[in-house]
Amino acid sequence: MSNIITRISTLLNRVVDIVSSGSLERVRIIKEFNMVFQEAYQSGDIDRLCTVTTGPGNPDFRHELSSFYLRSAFKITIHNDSNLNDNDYYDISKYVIESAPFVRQLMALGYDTLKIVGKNTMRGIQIPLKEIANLHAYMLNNR
Amino acid sequence: MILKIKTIAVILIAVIVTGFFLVKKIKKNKLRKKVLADGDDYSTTAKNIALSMSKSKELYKSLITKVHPDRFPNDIEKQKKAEQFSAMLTEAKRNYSQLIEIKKLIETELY
Repeated sequence: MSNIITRISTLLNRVVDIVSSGSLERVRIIKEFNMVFQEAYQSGDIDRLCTVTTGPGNPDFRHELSSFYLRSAFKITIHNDSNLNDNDYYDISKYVIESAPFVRQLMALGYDTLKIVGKNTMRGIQIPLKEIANLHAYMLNNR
Repeated sequence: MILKIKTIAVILIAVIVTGFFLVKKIKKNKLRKKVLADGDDYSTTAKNIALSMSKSKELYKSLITKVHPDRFPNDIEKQKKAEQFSAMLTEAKRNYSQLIEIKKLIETELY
């Protein structure tokens, strides 16, 4: 039953992403990430199962390419989140924000918030992407 | 006559406002396309993040010991290079693909 609900919500999320952004890019990035994370978890490369979705962002983190705030967070949910403290969440986020070109890609897709949350504990962190990569500086350097 | 002028003014304002938002949207789309084309494809990035989470710590530890300046007591040039590599490694600590590239450089230039 929960499997069917997950599938329906994934489908709805995809439809909303396509309609709101006008392209398939958001659907592609989420699909690729989920596939890679699942494979890495199943092969034992990573010890935490992570899934990526689009969620509500923080309106204070808006930038010039942000989409509607209810669809502006790149949300990574950690399923087996027992024994995770705030530092662990920050540690995981550091791997994601390590690459500035990737953060800029997320911003270009309309994301402004990176959320890392635990599925069971509901704890987590949110990071403003505009503080990691600056689109203004990028525009000026690439004229 | 006054009505005509008012109508023309309203139309003009509407055209200017629409034009302003259209230009803004075109600029945004241009920037969006440029940024998206600039990075790696999503699959490569996702794989690198997963590998970084699982393997970068170990790789970093093994490489940072390899570039310790004390390993080259009689070669000042290599000591300098080792210091540079050490700084590079610290910067790329959480990026597996970059660590692999630095590893290749270390193997060719120091050993």
